[in-house]
Amino acid sequence: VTPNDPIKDAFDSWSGQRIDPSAARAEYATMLPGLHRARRVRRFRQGVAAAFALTVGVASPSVIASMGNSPAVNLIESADGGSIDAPPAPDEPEVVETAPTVELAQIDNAATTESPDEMIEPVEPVEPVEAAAPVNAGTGQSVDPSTAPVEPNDGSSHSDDTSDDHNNLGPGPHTVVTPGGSMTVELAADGTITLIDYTVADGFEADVDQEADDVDIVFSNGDETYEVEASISDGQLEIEKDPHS
Amino acid sequence: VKGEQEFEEFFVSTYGGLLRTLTAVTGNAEMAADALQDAYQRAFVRWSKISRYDAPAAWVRRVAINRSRDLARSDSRRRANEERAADPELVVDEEVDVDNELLSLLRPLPERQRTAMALFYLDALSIDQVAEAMNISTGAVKYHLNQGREKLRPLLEQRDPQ
Repeated sequence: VTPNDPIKDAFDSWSGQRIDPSAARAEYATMLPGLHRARRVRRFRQGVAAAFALTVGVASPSVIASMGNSPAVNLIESADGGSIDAPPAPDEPEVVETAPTVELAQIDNAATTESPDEMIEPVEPVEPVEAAAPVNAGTGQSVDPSTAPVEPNDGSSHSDDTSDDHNNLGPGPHTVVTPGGSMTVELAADGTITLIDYTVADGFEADVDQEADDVDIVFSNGDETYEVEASISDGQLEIEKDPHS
Repeated sequence: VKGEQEFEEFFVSTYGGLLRTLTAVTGNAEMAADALQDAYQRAFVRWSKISRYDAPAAWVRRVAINRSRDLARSDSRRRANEERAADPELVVDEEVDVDNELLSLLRPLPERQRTAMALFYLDALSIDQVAEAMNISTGAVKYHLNQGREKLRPLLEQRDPQ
């Protein structure tokens, strides 16, 4: 840049979009309801994830199988390093029949003190699950849950379930999959997050933002954007997935 | 509430500058505002973490630039569909009333050159900061800036021959 740089002058003299602080404050006031809504949605998702884990148990294989290709499968299965709990005995009553919609709404209300009529993002009920051995989501064949491998999701389809935040994950690699790509991270011994690998689905681009305590990848193809973010909270690994298209 | 007040001050102190930059990057004031709104929304829900960053505005800028790319792609597809479906004479651009002189100069430039130019000249970022904001190397930033200058110079001379 030289003192008489005509290009710099062109930028400096541009009067477009000069916003003074009072106009910015007015803009903020206009935007505030949307900000609050976004926060409620995020808390709601976190509440759904927590309540879902509490209600169904972290790794009830039959429920996992019923979720088909949901990205949550990978997370839950890999949460303890790849093994999952034994399935319920056939004569045991099935724990989960439908998604705990009412309980989740209550949890969210308690957390946010927002009125129920402002709740959005209804939860799709989970299909009733037969009390049976778990099945492979892709093939439909029975699998041994103690040896079932963690199948990477190919991203060709995904659940409509948006309960995709996962908190306080244990040690070991964790993979989160979206239709735009996947991310595998691990909480290192020194308390930092290691990005082990990520994949990008055809037609998508990945924007990787990697910090010691936060790994954020945004997959986008112009029409759809998916974000996966791993962070540390109270020394625990948290992974969030934000489908916003 | 304290965090929210802090966020409001952050917003008020950064919004104007980022809106100018994003408008120059996108060439479209409405798209810039949408991309920024999305970026601030994401910052708001993560504010407890982002407020601890050295430069929260850099995070918002980067998210907004990425988002603006998404919006630009969607917009170009939508326009193409509309133009195919409608009588071309009836397709009208909706533009917010802004000083378009700089925007019309930047419009012929590829998106990366526009972005590098806007960040360097409008935001007064260093080469390193532009590289970080665009997630590219400093060499690539210099390349895009040089290319942008080469293209703008004759346009400026054409506009203001003296």
